[in-house]
Amino acid sequence: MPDYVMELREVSKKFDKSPRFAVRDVNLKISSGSFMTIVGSSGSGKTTLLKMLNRIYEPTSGEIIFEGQNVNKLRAEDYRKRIGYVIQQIGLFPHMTVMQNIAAVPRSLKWDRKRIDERVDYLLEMMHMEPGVYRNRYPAQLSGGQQQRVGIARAMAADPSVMLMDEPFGAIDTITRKSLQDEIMSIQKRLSKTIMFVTHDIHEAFKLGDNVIIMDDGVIQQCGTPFDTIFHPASEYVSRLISSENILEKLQVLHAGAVMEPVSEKSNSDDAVRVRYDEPLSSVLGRFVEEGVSYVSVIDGEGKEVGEIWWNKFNRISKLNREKI
Amino acid sequence: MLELLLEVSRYILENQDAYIGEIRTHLSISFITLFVSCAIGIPTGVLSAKRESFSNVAVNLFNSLRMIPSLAILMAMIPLLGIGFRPALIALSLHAIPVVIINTYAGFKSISPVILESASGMGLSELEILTKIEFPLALPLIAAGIRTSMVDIVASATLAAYIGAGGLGVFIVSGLSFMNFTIMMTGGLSIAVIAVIIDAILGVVQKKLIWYQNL
Ligand SMILES: Nc1ncnc2c1ncn2[C@@H]1O[C@H](COP(=O)(O)OP(=O)(O)O)[C@@H](O)[C@H]1O
Ligand SMILES: [Mg+2]
Repeated sequence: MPDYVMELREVSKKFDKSPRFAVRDVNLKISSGSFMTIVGSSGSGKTTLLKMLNRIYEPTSGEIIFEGQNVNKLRAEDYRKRIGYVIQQIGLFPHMTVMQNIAAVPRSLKWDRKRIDERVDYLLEMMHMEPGVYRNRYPAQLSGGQQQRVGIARAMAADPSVMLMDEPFGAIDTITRKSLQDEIMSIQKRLSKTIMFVTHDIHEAFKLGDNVIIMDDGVIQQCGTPFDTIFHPASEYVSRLISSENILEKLQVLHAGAVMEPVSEKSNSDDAVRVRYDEPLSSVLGRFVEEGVSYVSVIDGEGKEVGEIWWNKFNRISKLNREKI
Repeated sequence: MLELLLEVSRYILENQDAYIGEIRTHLSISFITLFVSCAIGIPTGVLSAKRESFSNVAVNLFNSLRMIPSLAILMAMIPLLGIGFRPALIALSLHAIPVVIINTYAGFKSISPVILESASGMGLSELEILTKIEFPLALPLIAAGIRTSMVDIVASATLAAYIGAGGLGVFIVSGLSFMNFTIMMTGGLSIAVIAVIIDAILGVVQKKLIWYQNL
């Protein structure tokens, strides 16, 4: 197993009709199991980058390596079946039931009937849709949020190692969007999927990504953890983007998991103050103030201890922030 | 009016065998023409939708052929193919094919590019996309084209009688030559009734095909 599930080397794309590069000199190494968000204003090349990863567009130059192999060596159809692809407009097949939509790739892979049925039910349950109720519905009989759940289930049908998501929650109302964000985070952690997630919402990018890629004008401005990006912006563009949010808002988009020091063994005492990995730092800060402790213990969705955060981390954050001003 | 209907019924009863024979001929000319038109028109329509350069040629070619009146094509066929069933079939098909092409083309073009992008993006093959996604989604419009051309074919098949291919047009031709209004109306009314029935049946089929648009 190679270290990186995907690697981009000097990837550029120029469309025939356009004088400018839509994506320029992108170098990127994507570790297996990472949740990468790509954020940037409209026209910055996010979709073009993602479509190259799915071979909908051919790069003008550079290479894309998937699990150690140049993607051009693989048949496009076989390669795409190993990659999940979700788009904002969802693109469910209107003449097929939820079940048939989700089963599209497994059927094409000639899975047997029973395996497909079980997989569809499993995925529907994972997306919190009762299989008995929704299996035989048509897309037009679902709400927008439910349609996107089916879109995600469909992309995960053949258990791809990498998921590409292009503004998947862009057209969904705020409340549903928040619950979809939480679900995709917990699914990603649980199944250790590699996700490349495009958004133009900075808040969403920092909330979801363990790495954030900031793009402008076809160029990657910065690729790093939310913490690094916020407190060590690599370019003028990134600082301007970040400075639109004040310190408390920044703490809100950073979650405990992003700044914790991981622990492998259970090391802290049982009465340590616990916070969930997806709790925003602003509320973690609140816990420190309330409880007067010097560290908190970070737990995952199942309550297992995964890391800890020390109080002095906040000292460093506030110092960095003052230097910026 | 009632009197006319009575006379037509009496004529039909007196000439039962001939009448049923011509209905059979008329329907077989119509259905074979429809089959040929679909066999040529649907693939041409699909190709036109997929290759823009091809579509200009195909659509223009068949549309200009359609400008020529069927009767003129029929007459033009005589020196080439003589008289009988074959020239009638060709003339009628040339008339029906453009409708099938244009509706197939429109059916394929009506499919949202987003649906096609997600289909190819998930790794379905071109053949799978054609048979499982594009064709079913284009079917309602293709069926509308088939319905329109079938009604057209049933009506135009009347002309087949002029070049000796038979069909209900025979009654119109002989009614005209004998100046017998009853015989003429036997042909005319029968064709109208058949056209209406076929249109109604295809209408029901067509409704069934667009069910998912009405959910
Ligand atoms: N198919 C295409 N043909 C020509 N130009 C394109 C095409 N797709 C995108 N572009 C151009 O490439 C640039 C990047 O677009 P895109 O990747 O869609 O940006 P984003 O997804 O970040 O909004 C834009 O200037 C856009 O106009
Ligand atoms: Mg985009």
